[in-house]
Amino acid sequence: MTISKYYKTALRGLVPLALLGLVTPVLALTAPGEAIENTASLDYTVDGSPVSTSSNTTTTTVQELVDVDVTLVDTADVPVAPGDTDQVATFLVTNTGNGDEAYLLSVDTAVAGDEFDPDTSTIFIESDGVPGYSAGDTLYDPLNPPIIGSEEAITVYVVSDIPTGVINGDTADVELTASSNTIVDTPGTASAGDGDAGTDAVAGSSGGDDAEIGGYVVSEVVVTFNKTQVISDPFGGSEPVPGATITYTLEVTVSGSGTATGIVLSDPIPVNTTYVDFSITLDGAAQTDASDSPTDEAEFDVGGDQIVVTLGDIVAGGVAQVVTFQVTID
Amino acid sequence: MNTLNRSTVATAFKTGLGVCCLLLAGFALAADDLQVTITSQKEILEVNEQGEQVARRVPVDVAVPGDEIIYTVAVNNSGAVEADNVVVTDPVPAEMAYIESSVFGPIGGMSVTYSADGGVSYLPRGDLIVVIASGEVRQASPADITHIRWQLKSPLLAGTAVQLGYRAKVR
Repeated sequence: MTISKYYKTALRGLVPLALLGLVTPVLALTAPGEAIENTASLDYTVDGSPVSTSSNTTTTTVQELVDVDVTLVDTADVPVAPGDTDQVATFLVTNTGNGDEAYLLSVDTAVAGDEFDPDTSTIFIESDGVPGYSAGDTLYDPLNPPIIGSEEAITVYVVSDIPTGVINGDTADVELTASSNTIVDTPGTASAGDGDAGTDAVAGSSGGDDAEIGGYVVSEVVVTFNKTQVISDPFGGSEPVPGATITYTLEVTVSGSGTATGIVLSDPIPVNTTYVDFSITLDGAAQTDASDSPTDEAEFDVGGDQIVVTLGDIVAGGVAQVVTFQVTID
Repeated sequence: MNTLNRSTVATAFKTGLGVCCLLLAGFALAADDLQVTITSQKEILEVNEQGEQVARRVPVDVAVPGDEIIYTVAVNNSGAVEADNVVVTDPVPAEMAYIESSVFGPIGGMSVTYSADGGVSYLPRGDLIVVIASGEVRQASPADITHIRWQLKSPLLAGTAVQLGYRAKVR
């Protein structure tokens, strides 16, 4: 003992630097049934003679911690239209305990504080490896609840049919609950012998169950389009005579909720009129006639004899986009 | 001469053996005079008769990840002579993560050093580093600590005892 102690001291200087303090990270939770043992050692001298001895060994046996965390994957309510079917809210169920645990899943659509409830909501479990809900995923079976390994997660889809007769902005909340099949109780409560490896099952901080709310929002985008004209004749009046100029004003309004995407406005030049070069304006700003995005998004399409304005994505409720152009009567 | 010689050698041999045995006995006696024991406990909160919340320590035979365990090492000198250069070393169990600043012992009467390399080298907490990939180093986190060592600054007198230890969490 004594010799080995001094030997170690002597060796210290010889240990290659690279070996010093190499970290072997222990990330996983300690498994149920594992014995944590601890033995201290004591070194001292009596009248200059070194003595070494060891303590007893304490043993603490790790039990199964039953803990679960449900989170919503969707970053916002899922936009739906009245009568839509198979609308998917996505959740993640993580076993934050240290054992393998079966979790019962349930969905509650009658959550207070929303405007409507889905006609049906069904639970599916991601199983086909294709991200997102697809036909290959597994329908949840309460008689055969999914077993989740320690610190592993499953993706759960709540698939809902939306009733007709709901209106823009209406929301429906759905609450997914995951409950341990072994113990749901006050944190710290133990159920003797029910854990993995014959240990006790101990309810963790979640109490063995957890829930999270996701939801849907009825989101119908309505694009309205209004066209007006003003005629000015060469004599200062407003008669549609040859040589008179017609100024057309096109107004695009997006209402409802959500975003209308990829809006392109095209308007043919009427027969017996001629387009006035460089007459297109967008929200009051002059536009070129060339197809020259991103300089501007308007052009006069000579071949098609029409004006084309690419408005892109417009969020509902914003101000109207106003396009004007002019023609002269032949 | 031959007989005498043999007898002298035999006597000398016997005497030598006797000295040897005495020395061994001396060692054994000294070793037995200091007892080192370790206990593992946890703190549970209880409400006493006065309605106050008090922490009570109970043995911890079972635990779950996240539980805090208090390891206490008691060194008792029941012998007749003082023990010098008393050093207690405890390897933090691999399943446990040391809780920062939880080390305890005779305040002012000890120096504590830590190892983050499996007990190869010991340094004061602030100097403790670990080697990460590509030879870079960083400050050791509490969870990196593999061993804790207490060195008593003064001899442990006959008939006295010290208690020292630390807290750690089940990983």
